[in-house]
Amino acid sequence: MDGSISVSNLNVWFDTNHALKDVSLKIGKNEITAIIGPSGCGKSTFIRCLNRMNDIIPKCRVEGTIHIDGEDINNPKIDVVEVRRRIGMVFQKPNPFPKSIHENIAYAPRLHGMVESSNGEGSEPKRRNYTKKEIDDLVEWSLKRAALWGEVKDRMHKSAYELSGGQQQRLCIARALAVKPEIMLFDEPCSALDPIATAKIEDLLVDLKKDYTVIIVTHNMQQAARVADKTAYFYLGELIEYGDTEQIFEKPQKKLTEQYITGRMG
Amino acid sequence: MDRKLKEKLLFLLFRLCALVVVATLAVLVGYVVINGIGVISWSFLTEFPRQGFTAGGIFPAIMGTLYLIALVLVIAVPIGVLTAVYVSEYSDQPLIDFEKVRPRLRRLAVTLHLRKNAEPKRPAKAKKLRKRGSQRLFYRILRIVITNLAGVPSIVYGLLGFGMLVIFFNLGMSLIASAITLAFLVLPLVITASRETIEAVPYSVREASLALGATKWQTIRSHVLPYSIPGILTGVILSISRAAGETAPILLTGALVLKQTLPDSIFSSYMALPYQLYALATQYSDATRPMQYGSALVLLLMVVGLNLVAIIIRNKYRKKYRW
Repeated sequence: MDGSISVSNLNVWFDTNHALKDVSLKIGKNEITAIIGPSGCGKSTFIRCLNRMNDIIPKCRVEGTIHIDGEDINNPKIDVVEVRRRIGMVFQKPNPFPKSIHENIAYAPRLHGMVESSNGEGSEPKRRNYTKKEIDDLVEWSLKRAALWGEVKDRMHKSAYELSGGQQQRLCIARALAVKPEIMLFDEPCSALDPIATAKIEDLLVDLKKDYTVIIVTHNMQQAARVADKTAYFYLGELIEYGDTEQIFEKPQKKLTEQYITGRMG
Repeated sequence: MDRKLKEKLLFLLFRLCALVVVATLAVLVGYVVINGIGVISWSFLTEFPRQGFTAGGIFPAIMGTLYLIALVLVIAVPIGVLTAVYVSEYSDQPLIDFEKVRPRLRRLAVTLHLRKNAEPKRPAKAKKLRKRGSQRLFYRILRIVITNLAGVPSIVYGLLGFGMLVIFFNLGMSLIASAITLAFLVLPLVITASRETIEAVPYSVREASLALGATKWQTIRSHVLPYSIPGILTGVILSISRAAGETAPILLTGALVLKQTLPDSIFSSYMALPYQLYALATQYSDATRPMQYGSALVLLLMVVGLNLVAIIIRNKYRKKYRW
């Protein structure tokens, strides 16, 4: 359980459209990796491969291997549901359930149950139902971790739709954290938010890095420069360049990367 | 013609057309209410008819219609909603996956000594594209079937119920035979209403649930279906009105003009308001006129009342789940 990711020769087709071409990269644990690139370059497709969310898109074909903690998640024998439990995802538009704040977070843990004991490496841990107290504690923990607890603790049973956009997005983060993932994927989490809400999410991302491997897709290059340790630049479905954020932004090796970063393209 | 005059004349025409619709309903309801209101009393609602429908009440017909509505909903709503779930959530997968079934059939054929070995006779070709095409074809056929089911005349359903349920399955002239027949009739309404509302649940909500590690069925059960309750209730409202008002299917499958007891099980025959109304209006003397108006008014009020209940529940859920 460390959350390292190793992708090799990943290819994705949507029907006949070759959306990702031979992408290979390694992402280390406890670091933030930003994925940048112009629209339609395969950024979202890439991170959706990591928790197999592309499975639900008809006519989508994925080839290549993705090892997470040394386990190939594209292996047909693997349990997709378990993959998605271990890898949290936050989407572009905040998408809370039309239920109370408490219900939003309690939903997934109740579904999966509490880990009672792990029977050594590799085997499925034993699970049992949460008690009410444990659920309440978990909800509080998740909301605190997502820096939302103070703002919502007095209205836990109000609808999540009464929250502002930024609060809703942090609720979605708390909801994903509640199932205790190892990796957190963010698909343009701030594109629907104002600068203040964005700053809060960015602080949160940096804070989450201590415990999780974080991957963020973003259109905002300043954001990538501010939060990310590593940056990957995608263009037309290919991984053009991948390296330390500073190096990518200050001394890009490839001409395409430089053009994009200096705003001459994309 | 002057443009302004033309505008005015056309506007007048539209207004008149709309007025015709409103007037029709007003006259219809008004006529029934004026003629029926005097007939309705406690004893009219709670007594059996006496003296050839000139005295007493319409209690058995009211109860029969209520039983019928309840049974129809019990049968049609689960089947309709689950069909809608299949059509909108699962129909990208075929109803029967022949790719999986064929090898099993071959093995079965071997054990029955119909074949020598379980290998396919011809090697399988690359079928990926064709398979997709056939799935979409099945989905299209299913939709066409549902739409056309709604267009079948009710007397045809009645004959189907009579031939298949009453005679072939030997259910006799009974509540259950009528209820199943009416359930066939209202199924398209339930399916269409449910399907529309299920497909209106935003994709992002499903995505959120799946990304949290919920299975498809868990997502449907805890999100898609609860959020679809308002639309499902629309289907229920339409079904109540149809089930309460249809005459042709029930007269062929179990409704009697006169029965001096309430049905004691789902296998007994019964009285129902629309059929009683039809029989009185066509086969009895003018002396039954008050009871005819009374029955019509009660039927009208019953449908309105039940619909109101469903609408109130629907509005409650609409407020609860909003996006």
